[in-house]
Amino acid sequence: MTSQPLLSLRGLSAYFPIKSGLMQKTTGWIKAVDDITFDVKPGETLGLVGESGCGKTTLSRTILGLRAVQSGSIRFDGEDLTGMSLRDLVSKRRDMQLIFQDPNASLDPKRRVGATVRAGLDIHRIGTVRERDERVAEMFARVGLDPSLRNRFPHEFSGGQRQRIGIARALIMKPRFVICDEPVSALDVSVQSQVLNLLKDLQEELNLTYLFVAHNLAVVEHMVDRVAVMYLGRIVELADRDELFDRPQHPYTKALIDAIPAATPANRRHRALLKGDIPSPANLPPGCPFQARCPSVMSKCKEKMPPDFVTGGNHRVACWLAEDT
Amino acid sequence: MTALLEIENLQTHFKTEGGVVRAVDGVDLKVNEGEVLGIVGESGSGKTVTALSALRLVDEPGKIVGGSIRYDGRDVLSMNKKELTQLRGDRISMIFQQPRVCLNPVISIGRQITELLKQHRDISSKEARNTAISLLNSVGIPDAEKRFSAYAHELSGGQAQRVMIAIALALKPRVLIADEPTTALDVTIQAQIIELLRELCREMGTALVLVTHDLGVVAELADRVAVMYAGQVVEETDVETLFSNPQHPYTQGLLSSMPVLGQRAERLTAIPGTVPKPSDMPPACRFAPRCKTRISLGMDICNQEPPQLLRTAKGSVRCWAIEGAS
Repeated sequence: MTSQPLLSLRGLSAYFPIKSGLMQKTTGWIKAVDDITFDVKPGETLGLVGESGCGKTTLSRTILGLRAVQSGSIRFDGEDLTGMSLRDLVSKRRDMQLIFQDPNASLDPKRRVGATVRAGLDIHRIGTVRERDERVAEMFARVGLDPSLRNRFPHEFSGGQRQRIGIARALIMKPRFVICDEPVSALDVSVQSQVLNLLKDLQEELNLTYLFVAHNLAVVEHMVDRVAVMYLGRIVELADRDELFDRPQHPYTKALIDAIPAATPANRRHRALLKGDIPSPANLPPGCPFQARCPSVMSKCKEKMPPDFVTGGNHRVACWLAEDT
Repeated sequence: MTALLEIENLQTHFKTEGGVVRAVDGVDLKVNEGEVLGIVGESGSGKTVTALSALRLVDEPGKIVGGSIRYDGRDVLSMNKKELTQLRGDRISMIFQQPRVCLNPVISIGRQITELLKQHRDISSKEARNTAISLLNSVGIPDAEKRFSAYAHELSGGQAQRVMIAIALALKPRVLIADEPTTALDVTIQAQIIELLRELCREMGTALVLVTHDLGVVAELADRVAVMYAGQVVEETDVETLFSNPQHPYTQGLLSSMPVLGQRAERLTAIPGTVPKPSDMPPACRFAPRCKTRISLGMDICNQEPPQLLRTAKGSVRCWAIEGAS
């Protein structure tokens, strides 16, 4: 694929200030998103994987313009979104939508679900009221819900149905780019696969580009074309799906894959466990962010941040171990 | 092997405005000495209420309305308050999904352990302190002596779960009930906690009742598994058989809908529909409306009469299709 990327991030950073003392002076920064560079090509699904606190949610919000950018650029369809006026950004956002993790928290409990799904059309004044209602009914049918249910309230639906409503709300704007932020992690196993299949079908039919944010590697492997692994605000490894799962290079990626529970009891194994917890992103030591937990840490790792090394085609890894390969 | 904890025909109901919710409706379970029993089910299957019932921890408006629970031959349902206190913590203890919510925020973690030790055992403060520190050590809290005086909010999620485990195992119980012990944790931390539970329970000979929705955790830890659906056990067998030769259509559906690392299938098999609401329970087999087997075999009985739990060569199954075949 050599086509022009739909979304292109260059050195994107988003920091949170740490304030303390009486005057609430800024005494430091939490680098929630730190120097991130990658492209998302049209029609593909890029998986974004990481544990809690790694910054994956902040990154998705920053891309949508819901968080301030510290530095770097976000180009969508060739246009730079950073520094764009709010009005331009809002109209641009019709093309970019978000599917939330928790369908219980992201739907207004006092609003009929049809109105929630229609909201985007209302805001952007698309079509007449009757046309909007028709679009809502169509969308309901498309995500596998009975259109006659659109005058009900969220509590009358199950978790899986609510997530379908969330998907309908995002897709009614006919976006080109959708960020799925942990779209199935709040759902039961038997319902999870229904929603994953639906997301795949919709992508094919509507020619969507996904950024698929998740912590469950088995789900990610099933859904994506390429994977970016995030740790403490940085992308530590990025590669095509098969390449990443078959030949992971970063010690953190290896540990993540190794930590997945066995699929059957016959595959129980002794694993090399990662020691310790994810450190606080405030005031990290210089050098590699993974140094405190890395099983193969070297003295170099504590001095200098590893740059991105490109190994074999599309494989990018930020680790000093990859320097010689 | 003798059954340490024996639950028979347990019925726990909740009285609500909308009527009686039969959260647990006729559950039979046995926990043998030193084994790991997995209880698997989705939300609303009654797995947590079953676990809470075993310790009589179900609160109003919930009530155990039928069945029996026996620990080491003694009737738990007829125990008085004093006997219950002795049973809880000392013989059977429990850990929960949200460790930080369950720890006392205003008492140091060390004191939460020593208090428990002093209440149940006749030991001095100094001995209690030493035991607590060695416990914290054994669950992998770094710098245990220093962390003894730490408070819950100073711990990460993984550490808080370690402390919960230390408290739960302080009195060397014979049964540990773990309700979704790793669900709130990250993957790398989950792997650590699974390893810790496996080692400690083996070392102390403690039986583990693992309540979870995650078949991966079950595959890692369990010896035997009971699969629950809508308040009932639908299949029970040893863990190898469950994964290699599942009998109940629901178990089969669950296993095939799980994305497996390395498979990279284009589509996942899904179970159609959703878990029934308690107010809208199917009259006979509770899985019938979602069951592919029923549809492909054209079975009418599934909608007319509830199936019974049937003994098979390697366990038991609640399904008319199995009954017809044998």
